[in-house]
Amino acid sequence: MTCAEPLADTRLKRRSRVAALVCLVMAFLLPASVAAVLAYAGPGALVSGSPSGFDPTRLALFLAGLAGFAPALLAGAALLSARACLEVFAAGRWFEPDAAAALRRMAARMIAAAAAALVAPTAIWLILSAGAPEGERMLVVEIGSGPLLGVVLGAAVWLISDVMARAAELAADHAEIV
Amino acid sequence: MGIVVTLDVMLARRKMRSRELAVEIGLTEANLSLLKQGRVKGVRFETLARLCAALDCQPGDLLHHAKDNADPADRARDV
Repeated sequence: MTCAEPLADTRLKRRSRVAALVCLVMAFLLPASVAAVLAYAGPGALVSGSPSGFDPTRLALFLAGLAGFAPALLAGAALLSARACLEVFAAGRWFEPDAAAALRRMAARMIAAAAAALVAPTAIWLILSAGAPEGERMLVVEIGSGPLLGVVLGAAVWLISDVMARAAELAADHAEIV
Repeated sequence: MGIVVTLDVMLARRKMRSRELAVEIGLTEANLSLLKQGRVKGVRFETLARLCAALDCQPGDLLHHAKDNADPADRARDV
């Protein structure tokens, strides 16, 4: 038996497709913009406060840049996982184990990105000031609402992915009822 | 499972083809085939009502309960 697809399904598929595309673009734009800031202004530009005349080595600059780049890279990876999940929705497969798995990967990467963003300022300044004379080394601790919200959101998405996995099991069960 | 589907028996009695029945009750042939083989986890009341209407029978003519250790094919033949 063939029947026309409900309008709501068509809309949801279209929105999912658009959102997947946005996620893909953002997944590359976000790390690229952070890399551009790092290349232009140096790792110290990623954290508030100003350096007190340090002269870090090239290796220290590279490592600090890496520490500053990690959150953006992980956020980009989370967006790619979000895209994978949205692609499943765009195909009209609402309750699939694939979507649940992609959502869980996204949650894990979101939490990792937020955790990296929390420790990045500390790591950056520790690395940059490692070569400074004793008494001039810096220990910066930055706790902002952004990274904390990222951890909370990541945990919430993780829970939703567990619910999605359960929904996928139920959908598979339901498909065996004629 | 202890439920044996005897839809094929009823189809033979009514001299009806699976395809005709599938079209009449609005089920895909694939799903009807799975139902005939008893490879489904459940049947909706709605589907059962359509089957009964199409085959002019009662639910009991299509489904039987049998002990688990017996061969379902044998039981279907006994009906």
